[in-house]
Amino acid sequence: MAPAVVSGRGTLHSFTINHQPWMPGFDPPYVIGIVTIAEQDDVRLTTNIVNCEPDAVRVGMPVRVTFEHREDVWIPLFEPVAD
Amino acid sequence: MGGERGAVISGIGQSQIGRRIYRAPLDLTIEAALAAIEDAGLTREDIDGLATYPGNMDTPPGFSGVGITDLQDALRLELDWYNGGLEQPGQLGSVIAACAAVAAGYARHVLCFRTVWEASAQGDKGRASVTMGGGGGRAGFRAGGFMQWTLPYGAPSAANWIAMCAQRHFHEFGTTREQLAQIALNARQNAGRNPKAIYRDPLTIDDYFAARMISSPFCLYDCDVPADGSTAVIVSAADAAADLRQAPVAVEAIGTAIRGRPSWDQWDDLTTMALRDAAAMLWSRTDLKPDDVDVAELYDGFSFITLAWLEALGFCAHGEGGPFIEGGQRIALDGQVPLNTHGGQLSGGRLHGYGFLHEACVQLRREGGNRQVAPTPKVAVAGAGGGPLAGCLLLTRR
Repeated sequence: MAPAVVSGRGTLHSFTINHQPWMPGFDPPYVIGIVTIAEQDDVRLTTNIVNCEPDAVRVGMPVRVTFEHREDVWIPLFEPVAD
Repeated sequence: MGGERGAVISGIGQSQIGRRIYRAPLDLTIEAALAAIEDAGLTREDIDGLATYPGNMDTPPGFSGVGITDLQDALRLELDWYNGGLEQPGQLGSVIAACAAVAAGYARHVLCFRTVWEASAQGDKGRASVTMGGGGGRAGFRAGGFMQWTLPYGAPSAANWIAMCAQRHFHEFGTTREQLAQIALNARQNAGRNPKAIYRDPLTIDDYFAARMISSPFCLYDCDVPADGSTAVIVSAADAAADLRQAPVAVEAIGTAIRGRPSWDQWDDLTTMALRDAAAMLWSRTDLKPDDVDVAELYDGFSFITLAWLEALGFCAHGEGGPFIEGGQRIALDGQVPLNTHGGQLSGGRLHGYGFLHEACVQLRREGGNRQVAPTPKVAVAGAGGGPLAGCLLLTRR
């Protein structure tokens, strides 16, 4: 097993608009999604869909990665891209 | 056919059930255990096996609190066999393990139990206070296991994970919230006939749509209600009938299979979850068919899970669960598949899997009172778990 470079592109497999305040620093509503990476359709990430209105999110939409730096970790989030 | 035919359910018991009743979990467990032993016509000395899910865990608070050792010691049991733990085919996996133990002759009468005290654990601090292993939001807290992949995204709850399974089902098959609501409305309707259910007031479709959203497509009424309570069943060897007070419930078949990746988000088909494999195994071990089932008690931690169990067990085809439950008639007490006749966890309280098995036995024994399915059911199915957890039992009363 070894890491491999990927394009950062993917498809939104499913999502939910979360309305429940679970955790400090996460103000609802926000979108939680499962993204399938472009290179391998059985590899998925649970993530957030950002930089778009929650109501505009659709299953099957193409997305790309954007990283957020938190403490010592770079968190992969995804944003919509045009088809 | 299967070795599970060597097992019967000889006794059932349940403690007081409620919200924030602030009784110690061991106290609740003893109440349920002694009730089940008495119900079977046995004594503590007869119990030579003990099984539970998930075993003693301190976190998340209220999720367990009583393990094998706690109850063995409290009841001073002398055991030939015991088994408790989290990595099992869902909550009822512990009961299925007990079936195997009595069929193999390792034990004769196994006391199986599941205790929750989530309502008291969260007290007045809300659901989020107990959801993240007690560590969410704490400075320096580092999640492990599956949570390490979800907490960074504000997705600590199975409400979020199962909501995405439901959303995928909506996408592929056109399932609607109006259809899904029937799971919640049916549960409340039946809870109104169950004196031990937590929420018994009538619930309308308007109430459903007026409720606050939790994680789309789930509103508050799609999510079960944290409760305090303990459920116990006695699994006995089928040839132990002479020990018992009454004719037991027979185990016809069990399902424990898992063939996909054991994960909430990597599972190959989110619309089926692991229920697909457990249900397929169950039908492979019996000549009975879905049409033979008279009552179905299917896990409803979230409403969508019940719909997925209905599909997995073949009451309708994969993808047709929405139209199947539409209007609610087919799943009502007098419908084709009377469903969650005690109110499920949505209205009856989150007893975490064991409540469905308990109710299946109540119905087969014709002890349902106001909510008894008529004519008397001869075949019942109980299924518990969602996501990568699933186990089910087909039960009969001869």
